[in-house]
Amino acid sequence: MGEDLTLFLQYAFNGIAMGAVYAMIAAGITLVYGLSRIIHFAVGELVMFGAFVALMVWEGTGSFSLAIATAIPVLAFIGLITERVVFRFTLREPLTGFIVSLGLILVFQGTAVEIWTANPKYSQPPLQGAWELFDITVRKQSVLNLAIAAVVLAVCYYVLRKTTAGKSVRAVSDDPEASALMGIPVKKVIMATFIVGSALAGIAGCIIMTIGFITPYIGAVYLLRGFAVALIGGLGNIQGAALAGIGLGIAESLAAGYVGPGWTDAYVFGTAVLILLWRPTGLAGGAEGARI
Amino acid sequence: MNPLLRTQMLTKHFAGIRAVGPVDFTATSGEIVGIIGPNGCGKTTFFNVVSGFMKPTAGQVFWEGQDIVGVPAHRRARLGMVRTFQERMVFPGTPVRENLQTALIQYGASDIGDEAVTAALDYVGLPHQVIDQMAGHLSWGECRLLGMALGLVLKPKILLLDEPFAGLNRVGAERVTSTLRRLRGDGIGAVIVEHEMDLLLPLCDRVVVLANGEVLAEGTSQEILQREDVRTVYFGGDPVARDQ
Amino acid sequence: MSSGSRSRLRRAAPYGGVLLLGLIAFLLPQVSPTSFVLSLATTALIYAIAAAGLGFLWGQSGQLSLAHAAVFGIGAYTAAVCAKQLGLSFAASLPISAGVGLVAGALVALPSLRTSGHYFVILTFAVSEVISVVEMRWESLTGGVNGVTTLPGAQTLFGLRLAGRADYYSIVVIFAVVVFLVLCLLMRSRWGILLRSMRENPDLSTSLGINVPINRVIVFALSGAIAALAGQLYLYHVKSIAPEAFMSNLSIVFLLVVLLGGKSYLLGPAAGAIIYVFLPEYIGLSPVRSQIAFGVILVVMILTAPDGVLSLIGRLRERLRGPRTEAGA
Ligand SMILES: Nc1ncnc2c1ncn2[C@@H]1O[C@H](COP(=O)(O)OP(=O)(O)O)[C@@H](O)[C@H]1O
Ligand SMILES: [Mg+2]
Repeated sequence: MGEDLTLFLQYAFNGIAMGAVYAMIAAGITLVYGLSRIIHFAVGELVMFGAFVALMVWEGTGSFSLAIATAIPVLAFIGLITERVVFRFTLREPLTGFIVSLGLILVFQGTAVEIWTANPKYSQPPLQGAWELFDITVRKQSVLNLAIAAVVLAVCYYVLRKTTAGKSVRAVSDDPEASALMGIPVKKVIMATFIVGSALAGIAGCIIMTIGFITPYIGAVYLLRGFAVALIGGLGNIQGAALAGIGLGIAESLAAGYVGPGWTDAYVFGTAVLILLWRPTGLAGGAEGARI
Repeated sequence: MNPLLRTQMLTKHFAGIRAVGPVDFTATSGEIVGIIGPNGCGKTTFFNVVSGFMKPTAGQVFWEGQDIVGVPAHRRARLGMVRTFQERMVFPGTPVRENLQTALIQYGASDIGDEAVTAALDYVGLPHQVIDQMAGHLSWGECRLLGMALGLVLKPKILLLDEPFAGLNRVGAERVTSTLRRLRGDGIGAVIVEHEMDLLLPLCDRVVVLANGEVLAEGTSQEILQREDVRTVYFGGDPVARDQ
Repeated sequence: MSSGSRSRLRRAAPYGGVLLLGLIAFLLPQVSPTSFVLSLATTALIYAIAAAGLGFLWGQSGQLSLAHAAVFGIGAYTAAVCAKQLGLSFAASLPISAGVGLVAGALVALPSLRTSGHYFVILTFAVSEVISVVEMRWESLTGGVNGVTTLPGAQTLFGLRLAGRADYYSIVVIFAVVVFLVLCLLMRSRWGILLRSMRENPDLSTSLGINVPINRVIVFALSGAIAALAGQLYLYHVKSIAPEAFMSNLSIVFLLVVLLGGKSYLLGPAAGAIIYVFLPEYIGLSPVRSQIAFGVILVVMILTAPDGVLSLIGRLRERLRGPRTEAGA
């Protein structure tokens, strides 16, 4: 196989692995937005929290499964608390919810600095080693990460599409008032999406912990990627999020590989802005009034 | 005579589904034209397309003989075509004074003081003491009147009114009616969409009936009331049942 | 007093208020405060100016921007480049940084021609991140992560020395007074009325013939120019800037400052900035703890007093006056 092609495939694989994480964050964003119309900007900080919780458990116990098993309930709990204490009171005025989430960014970031200090933290990936497939280095951890993300997204998709609970969620997303009349417990459903959305961010955090340095300030990076993916995929559209996430991951990885890592963010965000200007409701369709 | 406003095969689709059209329609200044049709038949969408708030899927809008499909909505207002809204009729978070001052400024009035504002209130029959109230605190009927006043301050050639009677009680409806009766004398034309026939028909020189986005019938109020197909659409073919 | 002269007095009151507060602020060095307090006061005024730009944008036209800190940063960097690479004086670089801020503000607003609401706010955030990356990576211009340092030397402005702490404070007071007076004028102008109409109901504004998109771009440009002006004042205050100072967190801080004081009040951003800068020092909070505290305050404010502390004063005054009869309500 040609050198160029190998390199390209290598970048593409790295991109897919990263993109799956973005897709997961975006799925959480999309769920929360779809039901509450709240732009939850603290989602990046939730990812960061998930990463730190996972790192602590992983370094403490040496079990990555336990790390994930801890991060999910912790983040789900944060999701529950934020919904019960604040977001619940902002449902009538989504802009208020958005500003609340900005306040939470400051709170979460500051709290993380208090607990874990501002110094970058790094841990060895739980799964060491790599396979060589057609000259591409496939890190075992990347495969595991990809598998986790794929399973999580598939479960989300399945639950939303095929179960009664998922039908309720879609009904509330389409028309909260009619759903309430039909006896769907709208408030509970919205609360559930905050829990699930936060847990998704937490799982994404677990994966990010295995990839590189984490600091209390990494939130903005994942926030923007999560939203870029959610918007390009079409708010409220989970398949769209999966495709856009992987697209963004690949684009980013190629840009970093061929052009150099320094300007990647600028290209990626610049491109996202242009795509959204060209197609404000995203490439895969989906409307400002989101459908799930 | 050349009509002031004319649409030709005007059509609007949403996601492939036709909401309006094709509609051929004319209106002239000094004339009151009613457009009636049941809820969801595309009346508001027709206004949106005519006033430039939405791009038509097909067809043309002519103003004084010129095709204005490419002209943005705010320019159409300056040409003399002003529309009102069915629901969000006023600027709720500012006082009534400022609501009307906005319109006065847009008209190019050199004086936007309280005399000019109260003159506008008088035109639609709103009491002077509302001037300091937040427009959002007015009653629904007062909002309707204020919404009309905002459009009328601009002295449009044609005012497009979206369901001016919706949600009004008898007193409110009478105030709207008496304001509308003044328009003809002041040389202002009006196109009024309504699903409420009783209040509209006596006001109109001409009535167009929309059903499923298309023109079902056209004529004077009398002619429209005689039409069998209109009754079917409106009263399920049984005019008596409705009166009860 | 005749009603005419009373209404004239009422119309002049805000200008008088700004001038009076400006005079009081101007006299602060006379009570010989410590140089630490003077430095805090300077910071507070600079934040007040920057936040006033955002407050005008948000309070009058109803547009929210998360790129305000980025434009503030652009102003600071432009001033640094003017000083270091072009050798320009403070006064000569002021119109340049304000002009660059004007253009940057307009560019941030351009997406509003295509989108609005949620999409637009997120886009302003994306733009702000792009600007951060540029500041970080365009090393020849910005010094990269290390940032740049600018020393004013022996320059003077209005006969005041830029390098002197009290003198520089006084210079900032003068700029703050001018900015607030200009904003007061604009708020009360015909344009102010049109902007508020766009805030309340942009479709209705359009139907009355207002070119909403253009006006949005113009008001963004104005707020950008003010932010950039504050950015230059900031550079000459702290002397040394680095990209992380202008990240999105600072935009949230500006938003908090506006909200704290009250976004519909002319002096809201000033009140907010004073609280934001002095409160943590007063209770002795570490920067991290005060960040947490202000996050909580932001959440509590938007939920309980979305019109800011100045509105609380108004509410209190009404309470003291007792129940009033309100016509027609
Ligand atoms: N922005 C829109 N997007 C999609 N469908 C729309 C939109 N506006 C109106 N419609 C649809 O077009 C049809 C006509 O609506 P409308 O013009 O509001 O009716 P009317 O004003 O006569 O009650 C309805 O079926 C409505 O659901
Ligand atoms: Mg309608």
